Amino acid sequence: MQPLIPVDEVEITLLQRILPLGAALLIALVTVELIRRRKLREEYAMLWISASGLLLIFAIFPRLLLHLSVGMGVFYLTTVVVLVFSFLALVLLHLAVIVSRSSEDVRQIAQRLALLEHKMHEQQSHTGVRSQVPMLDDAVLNAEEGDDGAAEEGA
Amino acid sequence: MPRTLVIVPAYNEADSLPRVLSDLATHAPWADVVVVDDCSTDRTAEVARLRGVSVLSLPCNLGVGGAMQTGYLYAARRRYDVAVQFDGDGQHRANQIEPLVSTLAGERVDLVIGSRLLEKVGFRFAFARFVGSRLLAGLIRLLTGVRTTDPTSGFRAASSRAIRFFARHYPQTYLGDTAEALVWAARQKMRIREIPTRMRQRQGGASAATNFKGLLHMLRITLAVFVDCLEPRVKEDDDRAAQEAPARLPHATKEVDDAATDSGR
Repeated sequence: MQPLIPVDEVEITLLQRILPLGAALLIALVTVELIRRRKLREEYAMLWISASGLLLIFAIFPRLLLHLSVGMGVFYLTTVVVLVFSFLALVLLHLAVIVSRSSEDVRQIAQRLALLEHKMHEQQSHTGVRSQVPMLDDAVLNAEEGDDGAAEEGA
Repeated sequence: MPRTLVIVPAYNEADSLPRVLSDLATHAPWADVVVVDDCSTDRTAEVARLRGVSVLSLPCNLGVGGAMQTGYLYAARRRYDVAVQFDGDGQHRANQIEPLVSTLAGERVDLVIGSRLLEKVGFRFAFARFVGSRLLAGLIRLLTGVRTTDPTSGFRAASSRAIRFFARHYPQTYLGDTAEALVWAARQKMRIREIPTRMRQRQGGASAATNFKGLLHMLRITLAVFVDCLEPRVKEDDDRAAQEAPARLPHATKEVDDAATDSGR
């Protein structure tokens, strides 16, 4: 299959140049800002930085994309949509793996903490060592606060 | 009687817990009890502590599987010979623990399940649950060769080998932990027995397994059981090494203490 117009003769409008440039800069800016605010860890930001970089390259050299599409035989927008969706699906899968791993970590930490607290209480009552002000239980504190995000999610 | 720990996972069971704990104190006074409070929003932990039993308070809600595993970790660390799973909602009867534990010790098996259906003892499932339970039992028999009549029964006793295994690996599926734990144990070539037991019908409350919902849960458990059989078998030898190391090397005790399932002395 051949493109209707040879790649070198395709006209690229100003909007077609500005749009990907803006998108690339926006992604980069948001990613960097999220890292700066410590809301995103660098290891997970790499994906978005490289996506932004890729977009930037195509924004600067728009004909590269055209050559690529000819090379891959992609001439229809639907194909592009499918490609974008599969990219997003992979990102979601990646995130699901991360979430699974961290909930596993949370589980182990919670279990260790419960065992440790019990051991501590036990040792305190064995040796009779008590601090001047008796410690309040976390369970009691949580009940007093009246809100508990973790408990609402459960059940 | 072997050294026995009764694990009572509890999520918002402050109302039923006093009755459960006094039932245990009267009918199984020879067993230690640990209540695992799965981050309840009511006074579950307080109620249990007032009764003088050990309480493990989880800082966030982990679900039955996570809570049960915490109990098994506790049992493994303190080297109990037998651990009994016992619901905090008053469904299980403390006087049924003794036959469970003596079967485990007498027949030298790793897991004894109290079945509500092995004998006609007047326990009735919701119809959908009954069908689901039958299908699940058939599937488990097909996949592992273990014959059960009540694979979702949460009333069971575990040997020290099973305790160590469950402390490391316990299924986290919501409401499916019992059936899955059974499959996992069977795949480790543990010996499994089933004895008839009596249970109370739930007195209303949030029974999570009725009719359509029950069937849905069964389907999910079935899927989980299938997936289990695709996973590679766990090597238990590592667990045992971690377990026995501190006994031989007293100086190493401290380090192994928190790193592995160990003795709390």
